[in-house]
Amino acid sequence: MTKASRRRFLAGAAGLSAVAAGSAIGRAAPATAASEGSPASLTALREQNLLGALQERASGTGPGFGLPSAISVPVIPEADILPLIAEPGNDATLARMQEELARALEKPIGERRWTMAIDLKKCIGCSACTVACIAENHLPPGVVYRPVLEEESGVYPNVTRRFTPRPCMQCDEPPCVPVCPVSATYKRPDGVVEIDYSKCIGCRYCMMACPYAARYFDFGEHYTDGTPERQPYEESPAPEYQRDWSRESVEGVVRKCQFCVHRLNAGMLPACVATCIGGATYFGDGNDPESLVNELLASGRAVRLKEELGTKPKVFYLV
Amino acid sequence: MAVANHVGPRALSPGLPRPNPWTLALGVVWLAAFVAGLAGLAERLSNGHQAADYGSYLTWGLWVAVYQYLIEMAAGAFLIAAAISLLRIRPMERFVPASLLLAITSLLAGILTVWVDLGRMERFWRVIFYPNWSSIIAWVVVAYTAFLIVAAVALWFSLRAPLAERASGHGWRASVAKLLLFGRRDTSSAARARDMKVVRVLLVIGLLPAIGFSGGEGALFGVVGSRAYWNSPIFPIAFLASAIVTAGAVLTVLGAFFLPGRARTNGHGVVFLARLTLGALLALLVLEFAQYSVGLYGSIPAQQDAYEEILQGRYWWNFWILHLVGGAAIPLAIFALRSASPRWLTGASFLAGAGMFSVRLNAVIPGQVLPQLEGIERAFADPRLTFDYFPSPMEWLVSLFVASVGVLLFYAGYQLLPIGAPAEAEEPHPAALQGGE
Ligand code: SF4
Ligand code: SF4
Repeated sequence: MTKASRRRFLAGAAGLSAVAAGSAIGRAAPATAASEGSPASLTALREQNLLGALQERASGTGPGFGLPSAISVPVIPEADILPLIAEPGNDATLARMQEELARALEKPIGERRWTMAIDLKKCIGCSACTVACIAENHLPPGVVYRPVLEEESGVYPNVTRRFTPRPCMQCDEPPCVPVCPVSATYKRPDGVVEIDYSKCIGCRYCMMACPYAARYFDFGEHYTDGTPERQPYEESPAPEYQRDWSRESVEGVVRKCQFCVHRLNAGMLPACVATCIGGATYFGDGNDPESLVNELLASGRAVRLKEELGTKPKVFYLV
Repeated sequence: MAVANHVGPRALSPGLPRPNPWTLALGVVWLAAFVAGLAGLAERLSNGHQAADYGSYLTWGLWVAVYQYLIEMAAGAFLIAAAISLLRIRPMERFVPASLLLAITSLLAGILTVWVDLGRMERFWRVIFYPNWSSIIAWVVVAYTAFLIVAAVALWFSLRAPLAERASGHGWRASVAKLLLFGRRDTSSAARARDMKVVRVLLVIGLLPAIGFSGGEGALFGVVGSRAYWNSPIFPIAFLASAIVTAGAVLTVLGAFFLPGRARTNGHGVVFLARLTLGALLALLVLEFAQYSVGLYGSIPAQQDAYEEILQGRYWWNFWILHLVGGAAIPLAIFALRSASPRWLTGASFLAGAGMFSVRLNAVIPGQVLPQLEGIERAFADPRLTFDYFPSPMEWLVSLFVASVGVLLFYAGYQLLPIGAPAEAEEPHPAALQGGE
């Protein structure tokens, strides 16, 4: 089976959104609960100001895809969900990060250091961030900036699963940068590792060098290829780095997560942070001693992936 | 490639190949390969990389292996030419122009392959005009350019006197020779000696880029710290050894079957080249043993996994059958048993050279099949996000296209230039020619 026919098979079997959502559908109980109506238990959630965000996600008005209500998914008992998402002050956390973002934007770019912290104890593996990112950055098939890795450990009955979202680490010593023969990828003053899609020659050496497999080659494919009509949304320009990249301009180049700098510069948190159902992703200015991310990094729980390589990622995991 | 049927003095200026069945068959094979290759190229140019089987986790595929094979052939051919000239191995000097022509044409074919592999072919010029000097690729491009210039000038000097001789004749070859001489028609022995001196100087100068880009290809992989298998200092040296095997094998086969004077005058050279090829193969095996044993018995699990993948993983047959049995054990056994027979040695050499392609595949593909992060291929369902890879028909066809272009370039050079004619007319050693069959 060729790649294209395998993709068509996948798309046909599970529906386009389901493919884009990866394994998210089966675990998307919160969104389903919201789309199924407002049982009394959800009123309590509304009081904690969380339902609005959930509805935004479910209806597709916010970043990320809405889930088609026709897809039936198992309903996870509410008692299992609440401890994960209804942490007191979750939206206060979002508001605080938002404020810190505004504060950071007042500084010159070179004085900011965008930093992310992902709490592995809070991530429920729903892949909402993965899908929000795909929608935000208009990613084609085969390009996914933030997949969520799953690990199962333990022996029955003491079994547990851990979910690890994997964005680009925006390394401070990025192995992907020096190998680029045309300087198409470089470290920005705010710490984000950028790829200039208009310069990239598509040699893919940077993909070889990245120890986190965080770079993706855009093969120029479309989800609706092989269907009666290619859908216009697949042709819409990508907003990355605050430029409108036409579909053709990013075909044949290497792409990756850039912390949604186009959103940051507009005063918005990255799409994955804003949509994280578990409230597991924190974001802020690492140079701001008062920032929430800095507080979390000082908690003693922060580790980085493959620390031993010396790449100095700007994405931390709270374990 | 067509066969020239000339022996003796006529060999110095080969005529058009006679249309015998052998020539015709090779011509038909070449044409079929070229046309099929064109179909693959058309697919590549119209739909980009969509018909390729590699993806974003296994990123470099067949074309990178083909590219490396051709680049190694170029470096190896140059090194052999340099060794012959600098060590003044007189009976071998007739192979210098052929080696240089092979070096130039295989490098051009290699560059063509990597060009096709780029995601944005139209931006290749950026590497030349906006190079990033911290990238090995940028240095490798400088080395290619320097190499091409040096090899072309050395080839010209090595052929200047034979060209001058040819220019005094008639026909289109004489006209081409006149054109290429730039008026320098002195065929005196003093002029020939001067030419050879220049060739030697150029070959010394060219050693730097030749070793640079051959070793640089190894370093290109060796510096990738994220892949345990490639991160070995032996890689650049092993690349040099396999460069000699690859080019030595091609030159042996050319000398035995294609170059002028193949039966009467090339026997000694063929034996020499085959022994060189098989010696380099032995050296490569020693280097590989060092690399694999350290990798396997060192206590770094990531490295062990990579070597185990090569030895026992999904491409085990490439290592054990194609490389070790077909490309090493059989040729070395032939070498041990029939070391004086040009015919057997040519066969052994051919196997060793063909086996080098499996070494290249082994260097490129198994090095990538271990995920950088455990379970990354299960995190998102997409056919491009897996570690399964087998070259698609389009990839094979484009490789065929590149190979046929390489053959065409060599054949064109062979027809236009008096390849096989040593600048210093040396009589070879007929005694060594017939022996041992
Ligand atoms: S995670 Fe990979 S792509 Fe991102 S900065 Fe680090 S090395 Fe570069
Ligand atoms: S693929 Fe693009 S960004 Fe990556 S190394 Fe090559 S030119 Fe640079």
